[in-house]
Amino acid sequence: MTPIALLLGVYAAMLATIAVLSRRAATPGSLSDFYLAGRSLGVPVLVLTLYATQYSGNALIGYPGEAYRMGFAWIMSASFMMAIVVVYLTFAPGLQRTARKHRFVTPADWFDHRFGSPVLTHCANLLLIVAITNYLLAQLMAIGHLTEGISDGAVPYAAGVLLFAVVIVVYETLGGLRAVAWTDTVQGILLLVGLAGILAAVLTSTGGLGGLTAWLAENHPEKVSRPPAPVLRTWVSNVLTVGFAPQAIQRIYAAKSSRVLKRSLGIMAFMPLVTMPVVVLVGLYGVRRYDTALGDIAADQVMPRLLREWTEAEPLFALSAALVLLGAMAAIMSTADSVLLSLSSILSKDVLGRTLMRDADEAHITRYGKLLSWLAMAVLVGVALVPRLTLWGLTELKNELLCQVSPLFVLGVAWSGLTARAALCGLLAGTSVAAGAKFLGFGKIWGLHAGLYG
Amino acid sequence: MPSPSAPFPRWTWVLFALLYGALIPWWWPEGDATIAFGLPRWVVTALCGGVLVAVTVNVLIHRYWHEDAAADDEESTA
Repeated sequence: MTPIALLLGVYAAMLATIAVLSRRAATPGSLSDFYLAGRSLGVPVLVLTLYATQYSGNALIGYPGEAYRMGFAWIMSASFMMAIVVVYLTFAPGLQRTARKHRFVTPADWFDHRFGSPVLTHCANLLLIVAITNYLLAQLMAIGHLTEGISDGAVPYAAGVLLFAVVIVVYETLGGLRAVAWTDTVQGILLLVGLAGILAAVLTSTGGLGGLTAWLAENHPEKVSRPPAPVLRTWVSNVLTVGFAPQAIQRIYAAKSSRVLKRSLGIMAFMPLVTMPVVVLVGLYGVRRYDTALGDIAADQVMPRLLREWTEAEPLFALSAALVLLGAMAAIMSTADSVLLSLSSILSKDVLGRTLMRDADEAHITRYGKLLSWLAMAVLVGVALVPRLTLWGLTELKNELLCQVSPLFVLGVAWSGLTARAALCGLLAGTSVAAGAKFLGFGKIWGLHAGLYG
Repeated sequence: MPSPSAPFPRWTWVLFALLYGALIPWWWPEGDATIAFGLPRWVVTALCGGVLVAVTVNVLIHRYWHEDAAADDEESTA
């Protein structure tokens, strides 16, 4: 048995065990238990679940592709991932205090509490659903690219998407956020170990950091030199759009205490510096390995191809590559399961619970939420089978949509003068500008994302 | 005086804007590709700026974000 097959077997057994254990620990029929793990997450679990969720399949598969295309300029990813934590500081303390007091479960509970406008809540929810669905689609595409790449096409893209979609939806349905957070903990550790393996493999293969940079400077100087002004504007735009895209709101609700949340965010501030430079190096090594032979869409295959080659080239790399592979799979699955859980909570509690199931109890709503998870996953698998955008392209779209909801959290917490009418006008105007610009083909205007103008 | 819902003083956001202004290498000569520590110098600058941002986040959290002991106790009792 190959190390990869052995580790995959252990990984699958671990997921199954966690699903069963978390189901036993659950309080049946409770929305806050299923979607927030009973608000019981401590520092290690919260840090690792935030880490595994934010560093998604996109970060492990899409970002190396972007570094392959842009060169060292993609080091901007470290600063925009850090911006997420900086922006958290503007609203997380106040939001967590209010969420604990009023027992919030979904983002809409905050919108209702703060603005008291059903129209605003529905509009914001609609944007969240579109953005979250888009992000889940990116994860499914990432897992398809990964399985196809590492198997050299033996496991087709479609089979990878389908197989992992079923695995994710099964353990999420069994254990809710508790299962997701516990698996994220293991997956976060795997991701860190995998990154250490990647770093070792890249540095060994290139003769050190200096060797890789010198080769790039000689053969592709544009990937080493200080980026031109339009790229710098995109850097600023990414910091703002990623930072102001409210993510993992329900993790804030699920923290055991304010002490746990502040300590976790403090640790999270350093994680981009540990993660993104390694991911960028992988993309740059891809330039050296494949030159510019891969097109824009195929650039997302840089990481899977390298993993396969490392496994086959050197017996000593086999275990390391297998760990990297598990880390990449873990990153994708942990983001996908979290996103699916958020989607399920919004669809069941905020959409069904406020319309068709207004008088239903929590047990019924939770059951329908699980059913909706399966339905949403089935639809997205169908869409993922025909990829039309790069992974980063999908993520940009998600961030630009979430940006429009951001003022409801950032300004909603910090500025008591923000009225429901002003917030609704801002949301509608912002979304119209962003969607209109995209529709007319202006993805970026003067290097800044259309969503930012919105 | 910062409010309990937004515990950080306003100068915090100016400080972060300045830090990001410094770590994004707009002020570096365009096309520069000099190397230090095996990386382009402007990349080293961007990474050092990132470390400063992370340290600043931690100092601010420690200094200004006061734990809500009453709510935490109430929650654990519930």
